[in-house]
Amino acid sequence: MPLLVRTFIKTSLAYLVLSVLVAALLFSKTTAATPVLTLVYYHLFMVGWLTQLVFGVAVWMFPVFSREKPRGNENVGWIIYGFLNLGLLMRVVSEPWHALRPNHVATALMIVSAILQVVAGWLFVWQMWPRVKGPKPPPARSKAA
Amino acid sequence: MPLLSRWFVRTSLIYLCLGFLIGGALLWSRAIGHTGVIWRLLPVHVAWLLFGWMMQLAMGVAYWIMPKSAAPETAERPLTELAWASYASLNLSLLVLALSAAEGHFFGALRPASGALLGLSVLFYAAHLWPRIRAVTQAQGASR
Repeated sequence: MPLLVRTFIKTSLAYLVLSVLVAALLFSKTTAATPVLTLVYYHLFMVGWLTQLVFGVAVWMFPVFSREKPRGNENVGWIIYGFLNLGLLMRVVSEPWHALRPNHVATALMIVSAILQVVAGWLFVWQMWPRVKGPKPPPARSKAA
Repeated sequence: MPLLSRWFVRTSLIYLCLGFLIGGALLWSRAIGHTGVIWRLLPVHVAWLLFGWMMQLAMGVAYWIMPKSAAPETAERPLTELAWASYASLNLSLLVLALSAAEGHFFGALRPASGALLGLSVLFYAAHLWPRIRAVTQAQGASR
């Protein structure tokens, strides 16, 4: 399993643990922060765990891009990983902060977080699109044969 | 990857693009305290990412990698019409759901139709895939 794939999958497992801890906190008591923590929990679970796990497995298992570059441009893969996780972590910090004490820094962090996650998703689609392909046609037999 | 899997997976990637875009716009609007018409798209954001992206990708990959045939002596996927019908009704359901987010009584009434199409889609898909989930026979295992 390549390093990029391992990093995606291990990070997704860390988010799974984190999201379940947040869920346990939500189950245990209701506070003023409950509505916004519920949103944080959804996104830790759906983006941090599930989407990231799917990204990692798709990079690993989909048909190869080419013989020379089986997984396409791996640097773009690392940018996707960085943008997705930075965007998600910024959201996890800024959204509750903004809900409890609205301020310009939290607003800016939320906007940057939104942009980073959208760009990560679009870069992933751009990377994977050419790898969604059918089987190679069998080589044509020469007439002499 | 077979043709239908390519359709499922590529369509799921389009929903990923659109679902993330709507999600980004919602987060941005929350940051600036905007509570306008864009929040009507919240159910579309959730459904497009959950069913349009995640479920559709899983359906495409499962169609590709599950044992091909219902019976060891055949090499063709059975009941492919059902799988195509599932693809069509899933995507029609997601488009109808997006229409239902528009203002007006008529559009609001479309939401049950979207739910019914989604239900049909998963029924068609389960009916297609069910016979393909089987044990590998000894002869097949030995030939690997």
